[in-house]
Amino acid sequence: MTLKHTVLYADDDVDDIELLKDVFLPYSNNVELVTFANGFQLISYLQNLKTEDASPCLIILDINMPLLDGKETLIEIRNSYRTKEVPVILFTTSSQPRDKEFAFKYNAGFITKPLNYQQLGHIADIFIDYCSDEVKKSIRKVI
Amino acid sequence: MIMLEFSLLTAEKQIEELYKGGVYIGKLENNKEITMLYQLDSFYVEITFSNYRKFISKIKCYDTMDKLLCYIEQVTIDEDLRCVEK
Repeated sequence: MTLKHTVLYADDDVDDIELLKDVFLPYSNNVELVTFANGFQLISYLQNLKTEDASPCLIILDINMPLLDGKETLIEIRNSYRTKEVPVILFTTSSQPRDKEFAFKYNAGFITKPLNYQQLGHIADIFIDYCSDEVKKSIRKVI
Repeated sequence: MIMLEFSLLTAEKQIEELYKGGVYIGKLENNKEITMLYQLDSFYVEITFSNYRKFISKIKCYDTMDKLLCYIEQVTIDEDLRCVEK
């Protein structure tokens, strides 16, 4: 049985979650997408990971979420020893330069959400490119 | 870009322009239809999608702020204030 790589995605928008599920569908044999409605739930998930559990290979965060927004969540992730090196992407409708600067400051990627399905294009590849080389090879080998 | 120029583009090009330079303002949902409002330069663009953004139903442009109100009403101020208080 192949162990799946875990991608975490926090977004309060159901519509965008559906979009991302479709993005990762071709990789579903090798990637498990775990979704959360806000950063607080994502951080709770990470805090409850056991030592023997694999860390996620990628974390995707919307910026504007209730309880704990994407930026606050990114800070929490970078402040944790276990997740400080995990690739993180801010995936957002925002086009504010300060949000891009924030992502850069905390060693995260910044991707603007596509408007529709036709713009999804190669966005899955863009996400996977943020993973480590080993994970990239593993995910793409299956396709 | 002025509104007239934008309105003469194909839907595909309009989406491309919005992706490159549009500022997302808000979203309204009605059954399976989703309408998103963007500001592009000096005007506003409303895109209505059906079936979770798989198909574009219509794209409308406005140069007034009248449409903003229904999107702004979606914003829950109390929640934002709580975030500020933190």
